[in-house]
Order: sequence, then C-alpha cells, then structure tokens
Amino acid sequence: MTVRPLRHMLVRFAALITLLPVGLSALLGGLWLLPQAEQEIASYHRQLALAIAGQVDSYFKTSRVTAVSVAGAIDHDEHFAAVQQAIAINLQLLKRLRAMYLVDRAGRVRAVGVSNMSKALQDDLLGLDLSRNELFQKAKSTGVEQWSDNFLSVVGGGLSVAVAVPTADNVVIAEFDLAYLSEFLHRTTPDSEQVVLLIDRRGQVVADQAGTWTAQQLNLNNIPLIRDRLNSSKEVRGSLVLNGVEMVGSLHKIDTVDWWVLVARPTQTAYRQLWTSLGIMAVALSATTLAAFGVAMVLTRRMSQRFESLAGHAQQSTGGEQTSGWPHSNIAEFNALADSLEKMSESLHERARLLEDEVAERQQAQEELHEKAVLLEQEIAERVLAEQSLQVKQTQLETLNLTLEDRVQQEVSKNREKDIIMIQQGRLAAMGEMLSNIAHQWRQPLNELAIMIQTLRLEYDDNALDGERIDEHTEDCMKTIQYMSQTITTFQDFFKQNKVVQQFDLSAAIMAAAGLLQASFQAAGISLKLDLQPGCLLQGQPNDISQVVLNLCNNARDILQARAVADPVIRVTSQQVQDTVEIVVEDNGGGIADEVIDKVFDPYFTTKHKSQGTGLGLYISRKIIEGSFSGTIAVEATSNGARFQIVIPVKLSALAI
Amino acid sequence: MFPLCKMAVVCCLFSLLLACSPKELVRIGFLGGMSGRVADLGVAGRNGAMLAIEQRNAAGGVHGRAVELVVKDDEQNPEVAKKAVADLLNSNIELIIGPMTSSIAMAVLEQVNASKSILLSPTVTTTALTGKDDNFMRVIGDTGSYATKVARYQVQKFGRRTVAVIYDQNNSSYTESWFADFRREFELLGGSVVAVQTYHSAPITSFSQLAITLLKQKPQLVLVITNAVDAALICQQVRKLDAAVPIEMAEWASTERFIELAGGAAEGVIVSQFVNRTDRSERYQAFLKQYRERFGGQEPGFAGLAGYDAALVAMDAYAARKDGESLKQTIIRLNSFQGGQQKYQIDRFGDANRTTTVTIVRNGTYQTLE
Repeated sequence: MTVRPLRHMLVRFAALITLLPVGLSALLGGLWLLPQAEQEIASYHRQLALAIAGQVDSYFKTSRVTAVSVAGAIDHDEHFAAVQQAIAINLQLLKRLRAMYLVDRAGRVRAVGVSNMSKALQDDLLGLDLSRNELFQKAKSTGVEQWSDNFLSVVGGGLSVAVAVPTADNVVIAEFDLAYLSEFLHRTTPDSEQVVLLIDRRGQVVADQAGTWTAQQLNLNNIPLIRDRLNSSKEVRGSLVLNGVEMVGSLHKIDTVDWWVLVARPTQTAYRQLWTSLGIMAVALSATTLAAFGVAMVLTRRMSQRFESLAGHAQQSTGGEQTSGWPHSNIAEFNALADSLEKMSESLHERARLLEDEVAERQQAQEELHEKAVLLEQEIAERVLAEQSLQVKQTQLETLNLTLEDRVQQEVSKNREKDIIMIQQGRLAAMGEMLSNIAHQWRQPLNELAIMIQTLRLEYDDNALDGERIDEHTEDCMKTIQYMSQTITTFQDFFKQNKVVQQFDLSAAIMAAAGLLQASFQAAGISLKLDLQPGCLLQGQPNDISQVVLNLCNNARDILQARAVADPVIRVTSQQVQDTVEIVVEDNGGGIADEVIDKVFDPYFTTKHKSQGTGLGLYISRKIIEGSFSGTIAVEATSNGARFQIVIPVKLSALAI
Repeated sequence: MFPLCKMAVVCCLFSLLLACSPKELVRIGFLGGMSGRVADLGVAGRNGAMLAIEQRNAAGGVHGRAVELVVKDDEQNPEVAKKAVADLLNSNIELIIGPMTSSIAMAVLEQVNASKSILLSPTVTTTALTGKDDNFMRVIGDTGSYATKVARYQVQKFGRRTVAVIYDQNNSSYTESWFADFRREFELLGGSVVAVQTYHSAPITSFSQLAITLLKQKPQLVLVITNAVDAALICQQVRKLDAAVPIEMAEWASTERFIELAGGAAEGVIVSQFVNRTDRSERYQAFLKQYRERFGGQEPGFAGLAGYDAALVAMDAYAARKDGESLKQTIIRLNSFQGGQQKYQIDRFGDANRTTTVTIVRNGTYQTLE
C-alpha cells in the first residue's frame, strides 16, 4: 500500500473536483462545437463558391455567344470577308475576346481577328495550318461545341481559353483572355487570407486573385483534395496544404467548362472565432477553477499544519524530551487527540527509563565479552603467523636437501676433472725431468762410442786393425748402443699407461726410478743410497710408485743443488711393518721451513723458480698414494733435511702370496 | 523519490517535444520564365523539378528532411531575373535550379558568382559558360556539341551548301552561340551562309516579311534558332512561300507545342533533340507516365526532363554532402548522375556531357534519324 502525505491527497482530490468541469467542457467543445463550426465554414465556402461559379459560368456563356453568332452568320453567307468583318465587330464589343478565327475543313485559317492586331500580323495568320490543333480536331470530329483547357495564346501571349463552334464546313474558334477571371476573383474576394482559385480539368490553376499562379500555370494535382475531385462530380471539402499553409476548403464544379472553384481559408483564420469563444470560456473556467483550488489549498494547509504540529510534538516526545503543553485548538477532535497523545507519551517515557537501565547492564557485559574476544583473536593471529613462518623454513630446508646431493656430486666431479688435468700436467713436468735424465744417461755411452770410433781410425793408421779387432769394436759399440736402447725402453715403460691393476715388487719399482735418476744424480754429484727390503708386494701400478719416488728424489736433488749442500745424500728405504709397507725418502738438504711445511702437498705450491717447478709433484704424489693405494704420505723436518714417509697397507691378496 | 519522478516526467516531455519538432526543410530555388507567350520551357522545367521533389519527399526526403522548391518567375526579363535571384540569395538558398535560357543565365551570373550559392541550369547551353570554374553548373552540354553535329549532318548527309538563318535576339546568348558553332562547322565543310535575319520575339512580331527576305537568296536550307512558338509561326510562313525548302531548327524549339502550332508546316523539319524520343526504356517510360499523371496529361518535353534531372542532381548533392563541403564540390565529386533518361557526367567546370539525337517530324511526331 502506497503511503502519501495527507496534504497531497487532499490537493489531488481538490484538483480532480475542480478540473472535472473543465474536462467536461472540453469534451463538449470537441464533440459539438467543432463539428458545428466546420459546418458553418463549409456552408460559407459553398455559398461563396456557388456565387463565383455562377459568375464564371455566365462569363463563359456570354463568351460563347459571340462565337455562336459568328458561326451562325457563316451558315447564311460563307463569304470570308463578311466573316472577317463580323469578327472585327465582336472584338470591339467584347474586350475579353482575344482572338477569333475561322478554320476551314483542312485546318487552314480563313478569317482572323486579334485584338490590337496589325495588318501584317493579320496577313501572317491568314492561311496558318491549324490542323494539329486539338480543339479544332475535337470540334470537327464531334460536330459539337468544345471548350479547351487553358493555354498560352500565340497571338496574345497570355493564358487563354477557347471555345470551338463547328458549322457545316468550318469551325469558329474564339479565344478569351483568362486574366479577366483573375481580375474578377480579385475584385470579388479582396480578403487576402481567403483563397479563391479556378482549376481546370487537369488540376492547373486558371485563375487566382493575384494572377501569379495562373501565369505560372501551377498544377495542383498533387494535393489530395484536388486529385479526389476527379473521381467525384459532387462538391468536395476538407483540409489541404497550399503554398505551405494549412487550409480548409471546398471545391465546386462550374458546369459549362468542367472546371472547379476552390474556396479555402487558412485553418487558423477559419477557426479563429471558435478558438476565441473557446478561449474566453477556458479563461473563465480556469479562473473559477483556480479560485476553488486556492480555497481548497488553504483549508488543506491548515488541517495538515495541525496534524504536523501534533506530529512534531510526538516527535519531540519520541526523542526523549519531557513534553508538556500539547497544542490545542478550537476543534474538539484535535483536542481529544492531543490529550490522548499526552497520556501515551508519559506512559512511554516511564517504560523507556526501565528499558534504558536494562540496556546499560547488557551493554557492559557485552563490552567485557568483546575485550576477551579481541585478546583471543590476537593470540590466534600470532600463532598463525608463527606457523606460517615455520612452514616457510621447512619448505626452504626441503628444497636445500633436495639439491644437496646434486651439488656434492657436481663438486666431486669437478674435483675429479681438475685432478686429471693436474696429473697430466705433472706427467708432462716429469717427462721434462726424464728427458734431462736421458741426456745424462746417454752422455757416457755416447763418449764411449766416440772414443771407439776414433780408436778405429788410429788402429787403422797403425795397421793394427784387422778383422778380429773390427769384430771386437763392433761388439763393444753394439753393447753400448743396446744399453742406450735399453735406457729408452726403460723410459718408455715408465710412461706407459697401464690401467690394469697388478701385483708388483715394491723394491723393483723403486729400483726402476733409481735407474732413471742415476745418471743425473751422478752428474750432480749426489749420492743415492738405497736400502730396500725385498719381497714387499703391492697391488696397483708399479709406475705409480716409481713416479712418487721419482718426484720425491727430484725434489730432494733440486733442493740439494739449489742449496749447494756439501756431500749431498738422498736415502731411500723400504720395509714391511706388520700389515703395512713403509717407504722413506730423506735428504740432507737443510729441511723445509715451518711456515711452508703444511702447504707442500697443496697444488701449485712450489719454492722453486717458475721455470723449474710446477708445484704439482707432491700434490700428485699424495693423490697417487691416497687414491691408488689407500695409503698416507707425510713430511717432517729432520736435523739436517727433510723426511718423507709413505705408509701403504698391504692387500690381503698380496699377503697371501 | 518524488524529485526523481518529476525529472523523469520532464525528460519524457522534452524528448517528446524534440521528436515532434519538424526537421528543417531543404530549400531549393527555381528560376525560370513561366509567364508570357513562350513560357512552356519554364513551366515544363518547373514541373519536372516539382515532380522529382514530390517523389523524393514521398520516399522520405533527404535524410528525413522534406525538400521545398521555392519558385521564382523571371518573366524572361533580365531585371526581373536579377531581383528574383537576389530574393533567393537573401533567403539563404544554396542551390537554384535554373534559369532556362542562356540570356538570363548571363544576366544573373555575376550576382551568383559573388555569392556562395550555385546555379544548376537544366537547359542553358551557351558556349560562353563552357569550361569556366564559376558558380554556374548544368545538366546539359553546350551548343558546340549540338550545332556542329547538325551542320555536319546537313552537309555530309544531304549535301546542302547554302543556308539562310533566322534567330531571336531576345535570347542572344543562346541563339548567337548556337549560330556561331553551326556556322564554323558549316563553312569548314564548304558551306556558306547566304542570309541572316534577326528579330526580337514579341506577340506583335510579323514573320511573313522576314520569311520573304530569308528565301530571297534561294538557300538550300533554312535554319531557325528560336523558341517553339516563333519557330512554328516561321515554319508556317516559310511553307506559305516555299513548300519544298528544307528547314532545320535548334533544339530550343523541339517541344510538342511546336508540332501543334506548326501544323502541316512541321512535317519534314529536322531538329536535334536533348531527349531520345524513341527511348522505350522502363525508366523513361515510367517518368513519362508519372509526369503525365501529375500534370493532367501534359508532355514533359526536353525541358520537363531537364528540370527533373536537375532536381535529382540537387537532391543527390544534398544527400551526399560531407561536412564542410560546398554543394558544387559535392556535385563535382559525385561526377556521375542518373537522369530520367540517360546517365551522364558533370565535369569540374560544371558542364555535362549529354548525347543528342537528330529527329525529323513525320506525321506529327518526332522520329529519330540518328
């Protein structure tokens, strides 16, 4: 249900009651007054049109008489000169007669008269061929009088209408000036708002008050009202738009020439009187309505103000104010209402006080509860945070664990690659050493070969060289050469890469190394002392042990040479101690400084000049001992030198042998 | 809630008011001679334009706007024409269909060129306006194309070598231009002009004496350059004196009114036409039917068709016009137009290329020769 203010409702009712008579008046006007006014306008138009139609009709009737009279004269006397004279007389008598001519059967003009015509022009017109003239053709073929549509006269230049009256052999044609009709309309209906037009069969304007539309041969066939009259011989009336102006008009027929009279007035003008009357009525009604409405408004306002005043008081009371002095008036019903409201207000205030106390208690309890809830929420939030942080760390740890193995693997493989490169470098360095050793090794036999060759010459010169002597020399030389070859083979064996694990005699491997060093040590004046326990068997590559011993001995030699030690000695011992084999290489080269002793096994660490050492020998030696033989290598300083101790566990298989 | 309701009601009423308010009319001017003895050209041109506009309005107008033709009668008088043009320009009309004759066009040209409006003539054919970038445009070619064609035709087809000429000086811009074009071609092909008669067309003009002078040199051809009414009277006078001499007319006179007024004297007259009168095409036949129905059985002739075509161009231009473009620019941009009969082009000087046909009057009708 829609709730509306009392004032609006009362205003609406008042409006309805006051506007109802206005609506009824409008309805009455529409249903009765308007048709009545239309009828009156039509009647006025009809009377005017009939009057004009009568005048125009008589215009044509009198006009045709002239043609008929000439035609009648021809019947009696066909002498064209007489006809010419009759025409001239008619032209003088009837000003609107523009031209008249007699056309023979073949369509040739035989007699002619034109108003204000010169002789030359008359001669021009005589003998003209009018056989194609529509009016002539019609009159000739039907044998009865014919009226033309309007046309532009060749002789006069203005709009004309012609009547053709046939005789036995000829046709008399009389042309009348239509300007007269326009002038007539202008004289008859000077009212500028009133439009009176004569329209021909084709819908073309043949006369109008101003004459302009006629002169311009305006065709109004496009106006529905005018087009409709073609299908009806009765009068037609209705509305039309003429030259952009809305009009009401009627069309009436002119019988003689089958033309029409249109009488029209602008709709606004035609209904002006009606609208004026209606306007006055409307103003009077509006004034009455407004007055009644005004009174109703005032009453409504007062009543609603009283209600509003009571409502305002009640509002104050609702707002908690202690109200007194409820508004009273001279209307009993309002006073009773005010008293009742006052009592109700007091009672309500009492109840409100009780309610407020209860509300205060509950509010306190609620606040406490609220505080606890807030604390709880904070705690929960902290725990959630801690849990989340834990979870993040756990995730990080898991990720780390997942990748740890991979990274270790990567590092190990990197180290392995690095080791391989280093070992290779070490071998190259050793090869350099070896070449030096080969040089020392060969120097002696080469000298021997040289001496023997020189001896050959001397003995030949002395004739002491016979076959036996040559064989001896040859044998000696071959021995020397075989020795040199053996040296090469030994070096080759040393560098042969043999991956096959085998059991070998430790002392043999050390001897091999010593053999390689022998020549260079002799050259350097170093004494190499070997104290080897035979029968110590090891599993692995004999060359590896040889390389380690070679490295240690080379280092010792380099130190001894560098420090130019008097009586340089390198001592190599090997012995089996329980389940291990112990190899010791010591020298009297002055030892190793304390600050570098921990670094000697590091890769690329060297105390030698860059051209002399790579710093890889000891590193590779340790790798070989630890990697290939699962043993240990250690260094210590002695009273006058350095002592390297290698300890290798003897494999079970080796012990079994 | 209440103010919202109020606002909604006001909005509704306002939009209803907008919807109801009529759109502004497209106003097109018309200038032509519609009164006097030789008004048939102007009346037919105006009727043609009216028909095109009424048809377009019935089909919804130009972008929903109704088109109105504001008609002014120049009465074939240069002073009246100037006043009529001034009235049209003062009414802010941008395009005037008209005038119908060359002399009036020359009289009002300066006035129109000084404005932003354009003249779009249905029938003005003088070569004096050809190839000029001015505010004059037309839906028809100039006399050069017609007159030379006729001259060639007379010499080459019929072997005529001497010609006597009569023309109306009231419309000298057209008649002299026509004659000059004819003469140039005729003399170029070996012909010669043996007599020239001029006159000022008026109701009191007598043609018999003119005809006598014209035929004195016994020309092989009589050339008539004037309106239909005068041409008919001249033909009648010539035939009175000589039943056989061939007569040639300029297309100005090629209306139905000529045949009606000249009677038997029209027979055998050769006249070039703007209209292909043997056109059986659906489009042209429909146009003829509509014109006859609208104007009580009257024939449109070339002027009715040209007026119709000019109105079509005008409305097409209004419909296709872009923002900031003048109507002249629009017409030149559109270039190609479909008329009531043929399709033709309007070049950048506002001149159209329309074809003409040569006809002869036989049994009271124009019959196409070429």
